[in-house]
Amino acid sequence: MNVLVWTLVAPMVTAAIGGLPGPRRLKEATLVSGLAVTFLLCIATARQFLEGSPPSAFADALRVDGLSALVLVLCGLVGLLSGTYGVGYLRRNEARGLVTPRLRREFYGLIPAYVFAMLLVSVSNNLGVLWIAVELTTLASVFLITFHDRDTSLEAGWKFLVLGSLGLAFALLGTVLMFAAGRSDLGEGMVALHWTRFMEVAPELHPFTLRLGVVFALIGYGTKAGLAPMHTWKPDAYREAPSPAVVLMAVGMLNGALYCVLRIHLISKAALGPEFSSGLLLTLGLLSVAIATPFILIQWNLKRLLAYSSIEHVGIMAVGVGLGAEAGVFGALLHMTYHSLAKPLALFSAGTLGQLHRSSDFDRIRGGTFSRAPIASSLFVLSAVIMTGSPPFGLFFSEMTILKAGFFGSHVTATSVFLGALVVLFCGFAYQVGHLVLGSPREFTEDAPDPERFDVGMATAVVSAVIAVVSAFYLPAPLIALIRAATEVVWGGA
Amino acid sequence: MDTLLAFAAALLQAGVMLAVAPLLKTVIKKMKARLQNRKGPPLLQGYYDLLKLLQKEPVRSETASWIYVAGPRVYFAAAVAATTLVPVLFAAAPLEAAGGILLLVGTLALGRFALATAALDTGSPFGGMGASRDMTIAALAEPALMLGLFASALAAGSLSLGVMVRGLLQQGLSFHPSDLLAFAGLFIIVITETGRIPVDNPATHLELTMIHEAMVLEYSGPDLALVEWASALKELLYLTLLVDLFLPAGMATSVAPVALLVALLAWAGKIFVLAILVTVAESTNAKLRLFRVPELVSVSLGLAFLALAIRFL
Amino acid sequence: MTVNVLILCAAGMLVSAFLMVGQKALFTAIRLYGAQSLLLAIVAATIAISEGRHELLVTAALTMALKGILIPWFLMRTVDRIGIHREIEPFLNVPASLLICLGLTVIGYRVSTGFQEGSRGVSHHLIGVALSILLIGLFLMVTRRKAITQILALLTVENAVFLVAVGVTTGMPLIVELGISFDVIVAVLILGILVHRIVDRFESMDVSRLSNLKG
Repeated sequence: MNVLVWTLVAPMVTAAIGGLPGPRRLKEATLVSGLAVTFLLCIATARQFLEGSPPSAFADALRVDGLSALVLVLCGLVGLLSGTYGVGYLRRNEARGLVTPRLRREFYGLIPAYVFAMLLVSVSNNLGVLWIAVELTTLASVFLITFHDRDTSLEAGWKFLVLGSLGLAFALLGTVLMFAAGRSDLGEGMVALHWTRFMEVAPELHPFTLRLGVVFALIGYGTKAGLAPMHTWKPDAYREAPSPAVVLMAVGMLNGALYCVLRIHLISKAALGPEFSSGLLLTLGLLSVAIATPFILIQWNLKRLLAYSSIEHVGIMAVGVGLGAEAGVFGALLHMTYHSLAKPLALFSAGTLGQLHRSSDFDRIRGGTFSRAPIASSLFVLSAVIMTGSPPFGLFFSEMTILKAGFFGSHVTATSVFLGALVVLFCGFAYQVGHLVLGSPREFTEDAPDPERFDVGMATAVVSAVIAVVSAFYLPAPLIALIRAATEVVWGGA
Repeated sequence: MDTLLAFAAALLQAGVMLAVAPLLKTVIKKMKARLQNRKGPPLLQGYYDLLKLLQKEPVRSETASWIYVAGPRVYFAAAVAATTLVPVLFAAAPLEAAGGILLLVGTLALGRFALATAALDTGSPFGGMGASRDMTIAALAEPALMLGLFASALAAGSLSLGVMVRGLLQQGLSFHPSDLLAFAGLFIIVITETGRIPVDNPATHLELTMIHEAMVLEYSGPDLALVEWASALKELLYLTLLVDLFLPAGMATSVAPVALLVALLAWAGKIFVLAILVTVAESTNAKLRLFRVPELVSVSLGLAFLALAIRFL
Repeated sequence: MTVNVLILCAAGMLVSAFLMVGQKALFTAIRLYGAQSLLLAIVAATIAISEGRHELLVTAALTMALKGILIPWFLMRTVDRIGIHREIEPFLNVPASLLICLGLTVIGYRVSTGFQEGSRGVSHHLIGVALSILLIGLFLMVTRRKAITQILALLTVENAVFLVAVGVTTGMPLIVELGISFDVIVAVLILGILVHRIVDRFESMDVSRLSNLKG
């Protein structure tokens, strides 16, 4: 069995063990070690790719190229961070008596299952397996969203599943139509649905059918990525799900869905020329950034704020790819990397604040959190600075790259609109965060927030802070090589 | 000479239809009864009822005028006239030179108008209520009927039923999705026009739930016999129309006795199958409330319109 | 002969979709969905037999068993347990809904003319019907308020996608088909569980009450 298969088996086994009953310490240790092993295996797979012998499995149904390797490594990292934070998160909830053994089993089983599904997405070469993997992520995350079993959790879970299934039905239709476009040329059996096969026969695909299929597939997978106008499930899902699961959604699933979008985009580029899907991606990206802006300004909940920030960032990535220049693509993939390295910090610190105050609504938290929870607050402010794209942090550089590609390319008006939205977003986000963290501390008449403690969750948050800050100044060379390889795939289409 | 022959054939066809119509009604009643685990009436009950009514003395309201007397007679005459425009056993209608679909629908509408006006003439509130209800439903059902018929007419290129049937016989068995849509739409219209569940309950005794029955509440004796017979005839006519437009295979193209016999058997068999469909539709649905009936008829209208649209897309 | 059967079944699916729009009783709507899936299975089986593609027979059997029998049974059991049997007044009344569905069908058929004509000669009709059913399913999802009807609308959309897959392509690889069916089943099961929880919590299946989260 090659390293790729092991990379997928590891989280599956962790999920199976997590679903069994057992002593708490043992379960925690299994979760963290299982996810750590997964992460190391992801790195090993990427390393094998960089050394020139990309692993593949099941007759090329799973295949690792530059884009896959990058997404794989990022998902593995965020899986590990999520698991560690999750341990601290559950401990805190357990101290308040909110966690039953069944809920604990659900959590320890679903988190690695989610990681497995995400990893499967990132290495799928077969469009059918890709769809099934994305559906698996949806199914794995539903019960994570309804974890707390509140009224609003049910609402969020329902909307998530219905909208997600609808989006996936569209994606399936798109896949079927794309398959139909190349009926005679693609051949028989599993190979016929391989992405590599599609790229080979791209010029012979029937244009009308392919166009229709690409539109449906982009809308479908765009729903999972959270591109507007299919983003409405995101804010609710982020608010209701426990923060460790939200990290997986915000980074892992976002990257995974973007991966699907990029694969479709590449087929469309090879068959129909770059303008069609680039135009679609540009529109969807601009729409996402534009829609996120007003909602951030009127936001009332911490995690929904971060959801709209996610929507903004995936919009930026879509714009980067949609601009149709190599620098834009590089900027988008760089943005994806920095986003994956910085988002956990934001969610961990916000999640800690929310847990301490028993709610992430602003009117429960508002006012002077700095005095009550100094570490978490300062981490949150740091994350806000990073996420809004301030120098000298990484997201600033990726956004600049994209802007440069836009202004020097042919989409000057679009880029100006984009720049304007980014500026407004920066101000809005800063306003909300400042309002929350600074100011005189509020008196709590009842339900006082818990005092801050340095436990596993906090430690994870600090580690993610270190990662976010260090990555601004130094990215390990293999990671840079991966980003370059991914750019080659997305720009060259090979 | 030709017109004489045509009239003779028309009389013959009308006679045959009139003879078979009460049988159809009783067959449906019996099948419904069987589905409800009852025995149902004997098969000749329809004829017995008509005989009984014809022998009785009519009781007429003193305030009613000649319209009241003329109503059932015009209704009956219209129904009989309509049967002469429809091909039954032979791939041509006896009086098809007189007109096609539009004349058919118009004739049936004339009958309905006469009956409704007569119902108003008695001055009884139930008569007025039944007439207004029936006319409301007819306002929706007739366009649906026409659209459904037009769908087939446009495909055949003519409004004459005889030409349509002959064209269908020639091209053999080949379906188009619009055929099924038109059939579904027209089937709903048949249920509506013949006053069956889920539109109207023919066996109800509660006046406030009646639509068609309320119109004829005042009639007795020969008047009622004429109305009942004409209703049964209309039912047979509609089912024959369905057979003509969607499954005309087996109709006689020549006057040879063998061909006519085959056509008779085929026609009887198809009408029986359609009767089963009607029975099933009646037995598996509950009667709709009055203001829901337009919804059902608009479904039929939609299906008919779609059949028309799809044929040309 | 094959062509006739295919066209009849596809038209039957379209009629069932229309009847679902005009339907208020939940049980009948579920049965209509079952009938639609059965017709879909017949389409798959007919294509399988006439073209000798035996994997499609497995898919047809799977469709008949899962979507024609199992899922309707599960949904009817859910409705029974909950005890709510009728759809409440939807956002749009029936005649207006029908008019809109008419327009959607015309659009669906219009779009289908752009496809390449397949070797069977019926692709035009199959895709037209499939796209129309897709649009009608979407319309149902937007205008209906009961959770069960939204699930039915989603399943109708899936049926439409499957019809395109079976009618236009040579059928997807069997493993993929199995995976997709498994996913659909699990999704329906989870939706059923969520409906139970929603009714327990909100005392009603009215999805428009799930509107606390805004902004």
